[in-house]
Amino acid sequence: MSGSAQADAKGAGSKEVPERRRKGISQVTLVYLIVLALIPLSRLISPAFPSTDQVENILVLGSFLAIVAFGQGLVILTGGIDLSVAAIITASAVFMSAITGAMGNSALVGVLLTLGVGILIGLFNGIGVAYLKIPPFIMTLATGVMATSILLGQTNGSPSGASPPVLRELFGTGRIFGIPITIFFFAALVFVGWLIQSRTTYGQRLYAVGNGEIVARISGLPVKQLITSVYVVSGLCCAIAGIMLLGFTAGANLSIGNDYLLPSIAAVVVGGTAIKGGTGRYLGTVAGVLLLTTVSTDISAMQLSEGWKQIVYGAIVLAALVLSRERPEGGSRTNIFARLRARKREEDMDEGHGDVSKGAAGPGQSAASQNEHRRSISQ
Amino acid sequence: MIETGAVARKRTFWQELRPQALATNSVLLAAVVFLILFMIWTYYLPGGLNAFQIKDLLNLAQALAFASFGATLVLIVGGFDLSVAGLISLVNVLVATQMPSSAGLAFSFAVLLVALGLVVGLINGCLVSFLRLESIATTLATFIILSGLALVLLAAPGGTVPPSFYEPVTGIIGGTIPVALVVLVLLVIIWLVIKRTRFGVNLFAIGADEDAATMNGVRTRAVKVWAFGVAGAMYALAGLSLSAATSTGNPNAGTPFLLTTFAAVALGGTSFAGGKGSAIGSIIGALVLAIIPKVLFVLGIASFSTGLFQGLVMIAAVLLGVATAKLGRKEES
Amino acid sequence: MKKLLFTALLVVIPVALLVGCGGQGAANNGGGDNGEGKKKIFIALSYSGNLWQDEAANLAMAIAKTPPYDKEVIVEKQIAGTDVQAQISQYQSMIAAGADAIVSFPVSPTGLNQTIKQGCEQGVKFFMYDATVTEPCAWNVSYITAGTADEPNKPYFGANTAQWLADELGGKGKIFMNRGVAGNSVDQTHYDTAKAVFDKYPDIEIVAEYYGMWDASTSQKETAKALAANPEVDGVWSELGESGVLKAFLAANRPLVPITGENANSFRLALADPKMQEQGLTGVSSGSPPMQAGYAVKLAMKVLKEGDESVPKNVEVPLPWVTAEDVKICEGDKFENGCNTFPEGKVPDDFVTEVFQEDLLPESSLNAALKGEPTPGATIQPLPEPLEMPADRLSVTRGAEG
Repeated sequence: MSGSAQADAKGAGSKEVPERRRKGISQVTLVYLIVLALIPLSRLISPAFPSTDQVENILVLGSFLAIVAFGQGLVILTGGIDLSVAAIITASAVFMSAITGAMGNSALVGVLLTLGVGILIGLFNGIGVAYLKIPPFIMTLATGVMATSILLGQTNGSPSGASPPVLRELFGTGRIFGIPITIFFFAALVFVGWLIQSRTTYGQRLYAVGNGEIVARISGLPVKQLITSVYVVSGLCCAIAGIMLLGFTAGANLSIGNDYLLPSIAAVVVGGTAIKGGTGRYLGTVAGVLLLTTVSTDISAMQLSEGWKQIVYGAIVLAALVLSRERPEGGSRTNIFARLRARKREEDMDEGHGDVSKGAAGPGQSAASQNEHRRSISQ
Repeated sequence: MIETGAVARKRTFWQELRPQALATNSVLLAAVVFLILFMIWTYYLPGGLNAFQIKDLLNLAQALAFASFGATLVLIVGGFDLSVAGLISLVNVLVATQMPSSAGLAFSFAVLLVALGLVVGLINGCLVSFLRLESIATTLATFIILSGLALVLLAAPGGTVPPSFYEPVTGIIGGTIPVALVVLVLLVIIWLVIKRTRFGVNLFAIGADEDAATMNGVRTRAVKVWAFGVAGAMYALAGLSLSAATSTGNPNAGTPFLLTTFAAVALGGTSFAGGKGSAIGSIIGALVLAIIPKVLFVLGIASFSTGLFQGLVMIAAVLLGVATAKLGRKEES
Repeated sequence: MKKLLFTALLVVIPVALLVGCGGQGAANNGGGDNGEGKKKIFIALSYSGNLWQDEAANLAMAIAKTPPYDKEVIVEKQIAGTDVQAQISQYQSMIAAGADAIVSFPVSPTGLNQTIKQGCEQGVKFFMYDATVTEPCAWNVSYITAGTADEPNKPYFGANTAQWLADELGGKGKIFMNRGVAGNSVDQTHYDTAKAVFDKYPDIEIVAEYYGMWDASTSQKETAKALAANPEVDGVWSELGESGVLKAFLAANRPLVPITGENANSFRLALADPKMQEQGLTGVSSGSPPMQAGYAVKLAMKVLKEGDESVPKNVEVPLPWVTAEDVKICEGDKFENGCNTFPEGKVPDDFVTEVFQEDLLPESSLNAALKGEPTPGATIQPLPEPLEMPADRLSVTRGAEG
């Protein structure tokens, strides 16, 4: 992780966070608008669209991704990445079905123990990244590979046991007012996620860590604990997703989590979070989740061969990235949102933070080294 | 890395950017890990080691070596490239369905595919560099598109790779030197050359501090585009190598490379934060990953544990790297 | 110091877990001749992680440990991974370790050919179960081309199930097709042979076609999407994952329709459930039987004892065929008195029930399939003459040159 010890703590800590957040709004709105446009456009694909069935489906299928992406989003916010999500989801689902099925524990005990497993794996990741300074990409990749391999060894390859009836009811067949219970969970999750990331000190501190670890440390934040915590939260989220999926599919298998690794990252990035950390909002991630799920629902209704479906899916993801990208100041201003955003940014900018560093900040750039560079320019 | 960076700025900009020296430690470490595993393997190998077994091992590692070579370039400039898996699938499918059977034409076709890889890589590079998209998400999208193309071209595994192509590529020269060994040595030489060219130096400059590189007159965008481009060519070579090893087409052939490529790079000590790394390390990382299952087999350890060992070796390699770097720093001061 | 502690922790935890789970694997290795004239058989899986794969491998292990084989062979199980290169490496290691026979689920029909050929040249016998390879020196033991035991002349899983569905729908209606893994040759064969049947009925319209990845959870999600896009559907043709298809219908509150699928225990239970039948469920349970793996071990032993000519290179395993009327629930742990399904709660929902076959694999039991342990008291029974694949079906498993 990079950073300069002398960088201006005020600049990175207090000023930038709200500014970035406001910038994020228009980008997030844009993704929501794309989703809203896509749903009626589904009509072109199937005469049965748009329908309540379709929306219900998007929300139910999206809920699993949304929760995984919350954890992933926090990890990315601090400049990390979690590649072990698929393994943790699978491990949780299999563990849950094993201890409630084969060992006959009650569903509640099962849920608590399973959440514990998620937290433990997350803690393992967090300690490796925060205290041992192992790059997150490598640490979580290794953890994922190891967890899968241990799981295979323990289950001897074949998970046994089924989902407890309560879970089936909650996340499978159950409905309140005719609406699947899972959708209520989704709504609650979005609220809680937004609350944690945008309205708590904890959330604010994560932004600070993402904007520059060293600065954050100098400002007195417990950086190592904070970084560890996001991996724990991610592990916990995956465990919840695993439990929900177990209820949804009423049976665990060892590939149950595979669909969530790359989409969880894609959802976060499409929702406007920079992979290098320090920016982004959970509502943006939710928009990303809805976009990806809507697209995949639409595409599966297309009468195309699988290869073409993949091509279309990839092209749409790419288009969404291009549409919702953050434009550099000097760049083209054909898009009204970009123009508005740019104007806002200009208003917010104080004189010392020159345009060069903002405009030229590429993906290879961490916020802290930008600060460092700004300093060297102003000197 | 930053501490050294801050100090080095007082020296000249270019002096700072010889992180190759920094990376040497990790490369050496990966080499030691590989040698230990290699010795265990040969010690327990029934019937002892012969040229054919080395050939088999190198043929298995070769595709991954190419792929992780490419990925290293992109990581050094501070990007991520997930398109590796899609490009390998696409090239594999094209080889299995379209490659002419006469030797001369087959190899010209191979060259054409490398050019294709280059073009795909350049497109990735332009998207990332000029449109300023997140590289990980962009290349995820291109990965999906390329995999889709592979599936369109070949719906199910099949097709054949002409023997005139795979036999010379996977063979043994004069009964003693596997062709794959020659190829790996060539790769090492290519890397040593690249890193001494201006392009190579610029790669590290951009990865370490893009703004500073721009200030010093590096055309950062162009260099980044070419980093992706050369990486794409390397992925195409990986696809060719994989096609030779399996002598058939499979539209999903590249998928396993999505993670193993980065595991190999990590083992080789390349930083995922950019600015530091070595393709030689990545090549050794590929060899380590190829030999782990063989070592576990001769040790009779349940193959469930392959993943566990891969993970442990990765973490251990990084930790050793961190530890030696620290020791080195203490000696300096 | 703190750091050291963490490091130690990071290393110790996985190693401890490894010792916990890895113990059983270290049975035998390296040396080669420590078995005093025993034959060496390797069970080579491509991947693990679904019930089908592991039941198959467990059955192979159980049969190899059933007397008198337990005195005659050393058996070892290895799992390579989902990619061809991993399996190539696996075969190479096994050949180098002095294997006499390799019984395997091949991950690619053609990608392993070079390695298999090298092995054959060194005298190793390759037996592929379920999926097949095109290399002529290997034996294929598979249901893919077979007809049912009653009608061996009507080939292919895809064609038989599609014909059943077409008949059930009276030759017209809207259907879904839940395929397996995209880009897989077995899936392609199933699909092509099924599609050929549906194409004969102009009034049958395939309104959705998707890939359930041969697992119940993906099948369920994909079916849910298809249901949302199609208010009307009259039937579903499905490969493995049929229990997920059924769950998607139930979760969406939709009337049930005829579903053809493979052999998930819960699917068979549902077929026989009067409540489900009332809602409109009919169907047939067919498809890949895991018992093929145990059968392949018996055939491999026959070749090792009696020579290459004793077993034809292309052996068919009859296609299981169970409709609602045929479902009969077992009392105990064996398929006795013609029973073919286990009661609810005894096995996981997606347990693939075809672990047993009266004439080909009477040595099997539920425990053999779940744990890989030989059935107590069982001994290897003589095999009936293997069913040789008719020449006109060869192109499906042996490639164009057949």
